[in-house]
Amino acid sequence: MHLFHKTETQQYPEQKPKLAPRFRGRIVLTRDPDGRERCVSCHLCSAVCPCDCIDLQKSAAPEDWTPEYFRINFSRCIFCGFCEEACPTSAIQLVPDFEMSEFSRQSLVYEKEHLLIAGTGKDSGYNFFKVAGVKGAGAPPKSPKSLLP
Amino acid sequence: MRMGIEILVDGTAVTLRPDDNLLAGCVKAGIDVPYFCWHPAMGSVGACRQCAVKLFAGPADTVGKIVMACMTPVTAGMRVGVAEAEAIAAREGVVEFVLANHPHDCPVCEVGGECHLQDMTAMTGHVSRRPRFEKRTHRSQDLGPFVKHEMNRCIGCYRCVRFYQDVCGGTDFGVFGSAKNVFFGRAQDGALESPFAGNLVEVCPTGVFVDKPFSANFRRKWDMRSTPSVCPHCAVGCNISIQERDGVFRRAVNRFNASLNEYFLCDRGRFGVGFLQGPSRLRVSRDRYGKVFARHAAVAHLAKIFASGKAVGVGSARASLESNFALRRLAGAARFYAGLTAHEVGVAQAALAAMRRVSTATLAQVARADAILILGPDPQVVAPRLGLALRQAATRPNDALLAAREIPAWHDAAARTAMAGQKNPVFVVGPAPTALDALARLAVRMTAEDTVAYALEVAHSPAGEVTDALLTAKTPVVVAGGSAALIVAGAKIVAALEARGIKARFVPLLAAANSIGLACMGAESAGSCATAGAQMVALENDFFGAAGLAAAASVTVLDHIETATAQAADFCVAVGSFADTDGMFVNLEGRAQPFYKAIFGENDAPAAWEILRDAGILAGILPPGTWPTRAALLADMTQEFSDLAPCLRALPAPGEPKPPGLPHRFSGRTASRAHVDVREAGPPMRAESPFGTTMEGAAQHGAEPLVWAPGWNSGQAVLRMAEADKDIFLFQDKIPDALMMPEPPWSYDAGSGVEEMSAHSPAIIARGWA
Repeated sequence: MHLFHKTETQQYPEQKPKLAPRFRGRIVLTRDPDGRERCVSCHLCSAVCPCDCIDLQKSAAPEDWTPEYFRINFSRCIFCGFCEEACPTSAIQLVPDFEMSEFSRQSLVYEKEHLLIAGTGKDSGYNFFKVAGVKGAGAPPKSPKSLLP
Repeated sequence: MRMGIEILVDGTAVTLRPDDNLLAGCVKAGIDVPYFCWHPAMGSVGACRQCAVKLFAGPADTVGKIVMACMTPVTAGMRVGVAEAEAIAAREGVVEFVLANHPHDCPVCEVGGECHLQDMTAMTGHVSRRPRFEKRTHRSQDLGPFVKHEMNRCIGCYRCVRFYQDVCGGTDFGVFGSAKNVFFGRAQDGALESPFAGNLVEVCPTGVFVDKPFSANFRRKWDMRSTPSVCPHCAVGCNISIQERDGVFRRAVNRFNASLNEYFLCDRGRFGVGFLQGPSRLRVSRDRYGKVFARHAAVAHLAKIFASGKAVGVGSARASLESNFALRRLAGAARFYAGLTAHEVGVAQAALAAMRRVSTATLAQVARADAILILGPDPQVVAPRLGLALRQAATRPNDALLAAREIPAWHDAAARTAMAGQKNPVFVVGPAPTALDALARLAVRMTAEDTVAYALEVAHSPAGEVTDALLTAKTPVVVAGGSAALIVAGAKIVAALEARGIKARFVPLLAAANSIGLACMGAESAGSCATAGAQMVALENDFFGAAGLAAAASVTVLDHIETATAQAADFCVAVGSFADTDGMFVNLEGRAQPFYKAIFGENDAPAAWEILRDAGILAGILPPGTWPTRAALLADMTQEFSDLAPCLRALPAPGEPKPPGLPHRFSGRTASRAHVDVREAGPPMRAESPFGTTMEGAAQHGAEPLVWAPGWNSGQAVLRMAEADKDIFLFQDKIPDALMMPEPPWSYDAGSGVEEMSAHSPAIIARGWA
C-alpha cells in the first residue's frame, strides 16, 4: 500500500528539513536577557550526562561563577537533552541543528567560545539570579546589631 | 565492650548504645532521622526541632507524643515511631520553616551536592515552597583568606557559635540580632582569629561558611578523587582526605579517625596543604644555572655523587620513612645526618626514648584525660590539633559531676551549666603564656630551666597540688616539649605514676610530621657535616638555608618545594610530595600512618626513594633489582629497625579487594582531556595501592576513600560508615627503666608554629602566618 503514499523523501541538502524548536541538536550556551553568560558552573549538566562528555571549571574568582572553560566532546554526545533539563539557569540548550559533520573526531571537541551564543535561546525572559534569592533578590538587609523585629 | 539497649523503632527491634541519645543511636543504626543542631562531637541542645519522633508510653499507648530524638535518652524497651504520620508532618513543617529564608542558590553554592540541608530536606520529603514573601537578607562579612561568609544561607542552627566558642574557645565570633534576623559573624569584618576556624566549613550544615581557597579551585564532591592521607604540617599527623581532579589539588578535608583527630582539623593543616598548588613547587630537576634535567639525567648525577664515596646524606623530619631509609642506605649509616639542629635532634631522641619506656596517649585519650600537666611551650602553637584536644579535656564536664546530677554527657547545655565555675585539673607550667592558661586550674610562669627542676620535683615528690591531682586521677596525661630535658622529666612523671598503678600517659610535643620516624633511624644533627670536600645530598629539608653550605664541595637537593637551600644548591632533583607518592610518617603518639598517592598529574615526580634506588643501582651500591616495590623497601627497613616492624601491616594483603578510588559519579571523563586528545587515555595503573584508581571496585562501606552513604552526601555520612580500625602503634613493648632515664643536656626552643611546607601555601601566606 505504501506504493500509493505521497513520497516522504526530502531532497537534503538542497531542501533543508523543517525542524521543530524542541528538536535536540547541537548544544549551545546562552546568555541572560542582560547579555551576561547564564552558565553558573553548577556541574549539574556534567553530572547528569550519561556519556560524561561535558567538562567545565568554575572561574578562580570566588564571587564569579561563570565557567573558565566549558567543553563538550560531541564525538561522545548522544543528544539526549538531559543537560538542558538539568540546567537551573537555562544556559545549556539543544537547538535544531544537526549539521555538525567533521573529518576528524578532534574537531568535535567544542570549547566555550564555540558553544556560547549571543542570545537567550528558548527561555527569553529568564534570569536565574532574579529568582534564586541570592544577593539583592530579597528584602534589603537589616543591621544585625538591632534587636527590633 | 558496651552492652546495647534494645528498643522498638516502628515495630522493629534495634540495639543502641546506652551512652548515645535516641537520635545518635537511630542514625548510627541506619534509621533516617533528620537533624541540624546536633553534632556528634558537640552533643545535643534541642534547638532546631528537626529530629521530632513519636514516643509511646507503653505497648498499650496508641497516641504517643512528639519528642526531640536528640534530647531523649535511650531506655530499655522504649517504643519509638519515626515513620508515624504526625512525626513526619512535624519534620516536614520544620524544614519548610527553615527553608522560608534559605536562598535557592544551590547551583552557585560550593556546598551544593554535599549539603546536610539538602540531604535533610530530601529526607523529610518537603518539595514545594508555599511562602510568597521576600526572603530576609544579610550583609555577608569578609572573614579572611580561609573562610568565605554567605550569611543569607543561614538556617540558624547555632552549630557555628557552639563550635567556635564552646569547642575552640574563640571570642571574636558570635551571634547578633534576634528572631529571624539572627546573624552569625564578627562584630567587624576581619580574619577569624581562632586557629580552628576552617572547621566551620564542615560544621555548618549548609553553605554559610565556605572553604575560600577551594572556591577558587572548585569542583563538586562527586567529581573529585578523594584519597586518604596524613597531614604533613605537624607531628600530630591528623587524618585528612586529599581531593583532586585533573592532577590539580582541590582541597583537604577532615578524615574521621576516632582515636586521633575525630571531626576537627586545624587551619594550618586544612589550608597549609594548599602549598601543593602554590607557586613555589619544585617541579623539574635543574642545575644551579637553571638547565632542566630529565629523570634519568638526575639519577645519573646522583649516582656519580654516591659512587664518589664522599656523599653525605641529610635526612628530613618531613620526608617519609621510605625516603629517609633509602638515603641512609645509600650514604651509609655513618654519613647519614638529620636536617635538624642539635637541639631538635635531642628533643626527638628524648621523645623516642620516652615512647619506648612509658605509654603515650592518643589524642582521643588526651581529650578524655581527667588531669593534665603541660610542661613547656604552647601545644596550640606547636601542634594545634593537640591543643584542641587539651582544650576539650579542660572544658569537658567531668564524669562524677554528671553522674551525680544524672545528666547524660551528650546533653551539651545542661552539662556545661553543671560545669559552670569549675575547672578541671589542668596545670600549665612553662616560660611563656599558652592558649590554655585561661582554662587551667593553675598556670605558672617560670624559666625553662626551672620548669625542668619543677617537673623532676613532681616526679619524685609525694605531695603538692599538681602531684595530688595527678595521683587522684584515673587517666592523667603529661604533655612536655621544647627541650629534651623537659621531655625526659615529663616521661619520668608518667613513669612514677605508672609505678603506682595509675594509667598515666605521655605526649611529647614535636614539630615535624616524621620527627619520630627519623629519630628511629638515629641520625645526628647535620650541624657540622658540611665539611670540605663533602658532597651533600639534602632530602626534603631547608636546614642549611641560603648560607652555611660554603664548605661543601657540592650540594644536591631532593625536594618538592623551592626552599632557600634548593635555590642555593648546585643541583635540584624534583621529587614527589606526600600527596604525589605513597609513604609513611610516625606521629607523636608513635602511630605509624600510611599516606597514598592522591594527585594524578601528567608528569608526576617519583618518590625520593625511587630516584635514590635508581641512583644506588646505577652507582653499584645496591644490587640490580633492589626494592622493585615499596613493600620490598619496607621489608628491608623493618629488618634493620625492629621498632618499625609494625609498619608492614600498612601494606594491603595480597588479593584483598580494592575499594574504588573515584566516587561513583565521576563525571566529565570523556571530556576532561579531550582538548589534548579526543582519544581517552586509560586509567593510571597502581598495583601497590590498596585503592583502585577508577570507579570500579568492591564497594565496602567504611573502606571507601570517599565519605558517602545513600541519602547522606555531606560529611555527616561518616555516621553511617563502619569505623576502619587499621591504626598501627609502634613501641608497644616498653622498657621498664623510665625513672632511670639519663637527663639530656640543657637547651630550650618554644617552636614558632610555622613549618617549611605550609609556609608555601597561598592561603597561609595571605593570612599572614608565613
